[in-house]
Amino acid sequence: MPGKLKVKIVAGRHLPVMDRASDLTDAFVEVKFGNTTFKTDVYLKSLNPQWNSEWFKFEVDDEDLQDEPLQITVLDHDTYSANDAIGKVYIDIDPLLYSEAATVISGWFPIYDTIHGIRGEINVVVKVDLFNDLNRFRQSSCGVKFFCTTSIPKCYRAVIIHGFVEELVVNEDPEYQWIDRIRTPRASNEARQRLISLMSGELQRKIGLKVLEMRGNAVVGYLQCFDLEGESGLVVRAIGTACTLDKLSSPAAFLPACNSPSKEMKEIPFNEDPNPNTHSSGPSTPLKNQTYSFSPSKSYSRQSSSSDTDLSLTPKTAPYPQGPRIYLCPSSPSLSCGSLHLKKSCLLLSESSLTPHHSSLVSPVLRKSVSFSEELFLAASGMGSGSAGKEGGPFKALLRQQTQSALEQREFPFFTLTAFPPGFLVHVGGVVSARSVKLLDRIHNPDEPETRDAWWAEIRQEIKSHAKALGCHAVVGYSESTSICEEVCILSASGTAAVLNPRFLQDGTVEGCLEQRLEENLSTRCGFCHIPYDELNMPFPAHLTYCYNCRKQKVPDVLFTTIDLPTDATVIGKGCLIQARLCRLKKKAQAEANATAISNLLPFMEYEVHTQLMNKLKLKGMNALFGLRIQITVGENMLMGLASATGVYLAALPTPGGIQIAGKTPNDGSYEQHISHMQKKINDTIAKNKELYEINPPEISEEIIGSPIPEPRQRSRLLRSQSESSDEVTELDLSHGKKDAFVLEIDDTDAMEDVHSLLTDVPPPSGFYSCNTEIMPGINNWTSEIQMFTSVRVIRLSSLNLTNQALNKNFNDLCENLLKSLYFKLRSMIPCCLCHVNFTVSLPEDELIQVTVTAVAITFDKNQALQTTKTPVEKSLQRASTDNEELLQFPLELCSDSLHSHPFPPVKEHLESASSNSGIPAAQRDRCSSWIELIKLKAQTIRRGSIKTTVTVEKASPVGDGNFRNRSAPPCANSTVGVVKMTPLSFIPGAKITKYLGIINMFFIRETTSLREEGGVSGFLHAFIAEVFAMVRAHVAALGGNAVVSYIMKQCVFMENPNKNQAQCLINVSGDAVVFVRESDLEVVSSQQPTTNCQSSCTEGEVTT
Amino acid sequence: MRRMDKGVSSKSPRKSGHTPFLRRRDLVQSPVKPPKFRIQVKLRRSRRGQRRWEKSQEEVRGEVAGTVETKGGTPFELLQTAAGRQDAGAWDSPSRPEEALLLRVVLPLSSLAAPAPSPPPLAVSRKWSYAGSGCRERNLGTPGSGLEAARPARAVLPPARAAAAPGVAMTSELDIFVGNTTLIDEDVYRLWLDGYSVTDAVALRVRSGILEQTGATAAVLQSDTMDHYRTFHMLERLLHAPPKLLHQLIFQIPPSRQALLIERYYAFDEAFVREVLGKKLSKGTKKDLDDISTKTGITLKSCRRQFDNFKRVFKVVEEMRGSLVDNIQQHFLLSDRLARDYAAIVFFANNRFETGKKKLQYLSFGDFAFCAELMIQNWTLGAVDSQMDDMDMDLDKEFLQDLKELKVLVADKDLLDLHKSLVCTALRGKLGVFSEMEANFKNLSRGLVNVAAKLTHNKDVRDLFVDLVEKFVEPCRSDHWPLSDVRFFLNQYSASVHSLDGFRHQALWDRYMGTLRGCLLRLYHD
Repeated sequence: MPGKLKVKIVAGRHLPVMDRASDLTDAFVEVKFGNTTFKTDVYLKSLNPQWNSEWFKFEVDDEDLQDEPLQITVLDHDTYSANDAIGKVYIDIDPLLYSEAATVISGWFPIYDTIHGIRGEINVVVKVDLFNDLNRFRQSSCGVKFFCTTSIPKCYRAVIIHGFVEELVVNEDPEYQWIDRIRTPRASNEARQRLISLMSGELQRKIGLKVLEMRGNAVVGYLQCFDLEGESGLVVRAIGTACTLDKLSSPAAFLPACNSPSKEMKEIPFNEDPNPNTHSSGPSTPLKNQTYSFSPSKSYSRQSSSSDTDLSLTPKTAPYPQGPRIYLCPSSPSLSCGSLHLKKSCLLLSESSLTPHHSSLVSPVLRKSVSFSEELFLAASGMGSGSAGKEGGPFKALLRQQTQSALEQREFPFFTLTAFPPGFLVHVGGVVSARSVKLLDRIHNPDEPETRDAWWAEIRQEIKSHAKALGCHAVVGYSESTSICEEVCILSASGTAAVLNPRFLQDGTVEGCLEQRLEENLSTRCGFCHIPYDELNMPFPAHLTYCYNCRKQKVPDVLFTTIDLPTDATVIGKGCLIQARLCRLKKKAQAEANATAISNLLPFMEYEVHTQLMNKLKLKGMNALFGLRIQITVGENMLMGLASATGVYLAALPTPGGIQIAGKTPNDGSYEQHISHMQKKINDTIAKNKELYEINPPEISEEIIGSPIPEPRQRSRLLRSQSESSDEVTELDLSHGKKDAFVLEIDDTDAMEDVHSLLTDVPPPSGFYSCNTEIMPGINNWTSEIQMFTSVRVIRLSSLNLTNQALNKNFNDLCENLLKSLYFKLRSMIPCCLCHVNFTVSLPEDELIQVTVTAVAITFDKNQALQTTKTPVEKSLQRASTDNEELLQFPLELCSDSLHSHPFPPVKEHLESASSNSGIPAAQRDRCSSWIELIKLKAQTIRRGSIKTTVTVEKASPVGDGNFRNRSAPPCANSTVGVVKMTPLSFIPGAKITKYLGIINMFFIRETTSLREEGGVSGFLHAFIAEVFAMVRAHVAALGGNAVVSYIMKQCVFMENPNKNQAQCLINVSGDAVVFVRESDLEVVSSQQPTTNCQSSCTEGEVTT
Repeated sequence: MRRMDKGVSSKSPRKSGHTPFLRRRDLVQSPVKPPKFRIQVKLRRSRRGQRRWEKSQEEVRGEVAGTVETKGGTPFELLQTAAGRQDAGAWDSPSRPEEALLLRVVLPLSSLAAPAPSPPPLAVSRKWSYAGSGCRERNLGTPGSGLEAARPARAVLPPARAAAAPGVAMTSELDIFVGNTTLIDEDVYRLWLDGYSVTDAVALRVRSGILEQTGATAAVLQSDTMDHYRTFHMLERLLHAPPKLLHQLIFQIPPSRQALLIERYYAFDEAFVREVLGKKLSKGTKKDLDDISTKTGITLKSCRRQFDNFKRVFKVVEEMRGSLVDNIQQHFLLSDRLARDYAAIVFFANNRFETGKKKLQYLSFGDFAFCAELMIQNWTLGAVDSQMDDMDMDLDKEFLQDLKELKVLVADKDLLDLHKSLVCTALRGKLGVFSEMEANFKNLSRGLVNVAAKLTHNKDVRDLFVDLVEKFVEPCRSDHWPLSDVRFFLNQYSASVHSLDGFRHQALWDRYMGTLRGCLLRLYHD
């Protein structure tokens, strides 16, 4: 139960001058954890105090350890007046709570003040002694690892992927409490920061509990968001994918540190639910997807054999079910609303009205997935969507049925992952999304966030039903977001409907049957493109052809997904960033009227965004979109839509047709001429783009492929297929009559604008590529130079004559200019690629548009690129022939073997040089030695002998290495600041991640009352973002890491009031702290490696994500 | 934002809009009373200048007892419509009963008598200047510089707005780029150091042809330049104490770049340094910087930076023990060459050697720096005792006192004649200008020795270089001595003193003449 937290304050440096008379500072430090506070002595008259305090010891519950941040306050002692605060440091001690991560946090932290920014640094050492807790009543979930990375982390292997976990906590926003009227802005900001830190700790703990219940040991793709609902409160919510991960280097599976899940199972749900009234809180019949669950956990639940908690669904025994099953028919006939690129907006006002056609499928779920009320469910199970189901044969199940049933059991078969172990993804259906407009009201009881929960449950349910309509039983690349303006909130969720391989969902020991393997091998390269739905019973009209790759299965002509490009997919040419941008004016209105207005606009927004995407995709001559992210932002007088995706040409999909322009006005000579001119321009652009992105698909004559099924009518409908009801479809059909596939009609000025805007997108300058996925399809020879950056732009629109067109143009220019600026700034890195380009739009005020971009520029080797064009094919072949897990483990085994022949000399030398370098700061040496201790410990358990250990020791000294490189530069020889890389990607090119140290999740508020003096809004925000980067880097360095991967800036809320010379900004960032080793350094160890096999597969492991 | 409005008594209407709970409870407690309603003035959203205006409206809110809902019309009409609706119950929403009591009102500005100040200008845009002022500067303890420096920045405004997007109805309010590794463009850094405003820098960059090379637009260039300037401005604080730049965590800069930043920041213009060399690094001198700026064509901003650099280095090493060059190198992380230059500047500033006289104009900074180094090595306290404070900064007073003893060389007629004959014998036939030398020997010798004897007075120390040029360089030059002859002469002149039996101060002479010989040789050119 308890843990002992030990903190030591070593020293400070560069403190600000607090005493004007002496130009010095009398600093001391308060260390606070929970309700206990310790103080150091006052170090008189110094800007670089050396406290060297004793160890402050806190004895606390591990529940508190997870929730509370360690709070370090630096103050200036004042004899007569109150002590002045210099600033604070919050340290999240979570990484110390699981055994594999960091053992000590030690390093220089920037001292941060919400008014003044960073004011000096403080050196702190933090350690935790955790006693093993086997109490089954416990509320803590120490030991569960969290990863922001949306793929299986590099040095782990997924044994089981359990599935979706979600949690949500609410509280009042301290900024809106009465006390805020009397306290200082600083106190208010600090209260907010602390509260959010607490809430995210609590959230993480609760999610951890769910994971333990599912018998997982990690959460991958952990996405935590804040909704600042203003007066209604503060919501912190998180989603993730529970997994059982296995460290790759260790032979035996690592079980969660504190597991006795079966025992806890009984009680935890009960404890989890703080308020027993939850049972009655769900007034209507909650939806049930199955009658019986097959998870062993079932037997532990108290009264009945039914449980639909998605966390008790570890389908260990899925292939041998004990009871009858119910699963849904893949495409239910009643669903006419689905479409391949499903754009759905469900407008839910005041929790009441569900659009009629949903109600047949989805009944509102008003219950949190954790809580349970068995009796009700038993009753409910007969109804709900189960009605459409049929009984599946329990034995001899086909692959699909097997998975399906395994997944059907879950309330939400969702996965936040965007990249998967090879073979996991069987088919991809298309994008599914749902939006809902809600009116915010005050959260009455923070302990019972059931309204917010119900909102999300509804949306998820809808997503699930959409996926089902596409013949898919799972949703991958799932994410959720909100946009709030005043009292109106748009909740959005989107993902990619997919069919998954059940092997990964179950225990690794359960082997799939032989056919399964066979099918897998056959379809790895193009299989995911094949349609999951029934060709004759398609949920929507689509244009199908036989796969251009295997010629056996049907594929759609375009594919939209929210996931990363699967590594084994065959791509022709390179990809590119495709963006659709849209603004719509909206009348200012209040509350319900406003919500209605927004609801009415949403479908049209979605439609247009989608059309734009489709047109731009055609213009690029490509046929698939990956990483699609559509963001709809609501402002007071407008709605903004921004969709970003990476377009690629998938070899398995048919060549996209061109774009044809048709004019409505008949027989006008000049008009016709104009149109033909336009048509020519478009054709030229397509040709140019094909050349630019090197798209030269091999020519295949139509006969070989087999005749495509579609008739023109269906083709045209495809473009317009987003509309919801069948009425609209027919309407559109009328207007688009018998035209050919991709026809743009110029019948009014609007359409003209559209065509113009198509042509105004300027391709990036030569040497630049951009994409919003992890890696650029078609480039695989990354060099090691990376530059992560954040860019923010705010423009003010003149309110005089705002029309939709002007607005669109402004917004388009804003984005284009921003991209142009980026290309210009990074020109020194050419040839390079902007990866993971993440645009976020917000509308802070009436006429302001704010766009925030975070991305990473990675250089690549142009010369090699030409030679390696063939590799994807080879790679996939190789993959198909080898068992994947073996492939992954192979290189490591080889490396260790090779060390037998040259075991010690190189390593030793390296270490000696490391330790002999006098410049290493003491703290760092400490860290190294503690690593060594840890590794020694591990070596004993692993029973692998000393060879393995030396390898790890070598790997564990990258920070030192980084510093040597620093030192080599002459005048700055004594720099103590190690380089910390940051990247939004899950990997570091040219390097190997050897260790994950824990999640970084930080929230900062900065405020100023002297905006002009700090350089205006730009100066203020520039400094703040730089400070945020600095604090992230400092925390990573203190954990012993040298990089942050999967870095994301989730929120950047900026508000200003130039008249009062004030501004405030809130930033939330997260990522995974890691240790990486350069591949070139690794090669020193395994330098004389004779087999190229190892190296090539090593690099492969790196590049693939 | 909302909280930032704190302190102003008026709260945004939304805030007070959240009392519905209270009111509802009231209703329950006293069912007899008809529900009271209250005007809720929902303004267009309080921002900026509207704040004051809103305050005046709050009084209105207090007076009217009733709820109003409309989109236009006079307050009274509004009141009536609202009341009407209330009766009709049209606004009873089942989902939110409390809403029924609270109707939001949008009042047109004109409908209220309150004096509405003109709305804030739309294009408030860039308020900020690179030079910053006030707050930040105060922290640094260098008051004054900020306010003055703000001047050139104002020129930035018009083009900035123009460049944003001509013809399009938008202005860029905020535009930043922050990299994990701080991007530093050497060209822009040079322009910044040279003190160009953003506008000028952009113009210069355009002229350099960068637009054609990269296909960028002027707006992009403008934004890029602004960004760099902002970064440099933030870095400047750290550059004032270079070790801080190494240890700071805010900017991640590769070491080679750090070195470049420091080296370039502390680099100075030859023309500028000649103007201030030997002057007291005080406020007075600083005020004269605009004259220097006009004279040299270096921007005032750049002059200020260079001057402040000199002063900062001076202040830091002023009272320090140990070698001057080493101290500078350690505290400012400069390259060896630059540290030596700064040592010379500090040395000159401390001893206030006159360098500005017209006859000294032909001398370069390099000449002076060379002399300074020789003097530091031989004439300062540090040359004899390495443990003294200020050792490399101040000349050895005792040594200067002792130099009076040398006067005997010219005062004693016999000694002077003997000295001359020794030199002449040695140099006969070797010197192209022998006759001139022979004729001038006494004058030259007297000049050199008198310079030494006078050095006890501070004023004469200051005039050292003037004296040297007047007493030695000019006479020789007027006789067209070649440099080689000067060298021969000086070598012989100082060496032959050792043969003078009556002269006892050989060591002193060597210490004096050894340095002076080096200096004179360096000073002797056109």
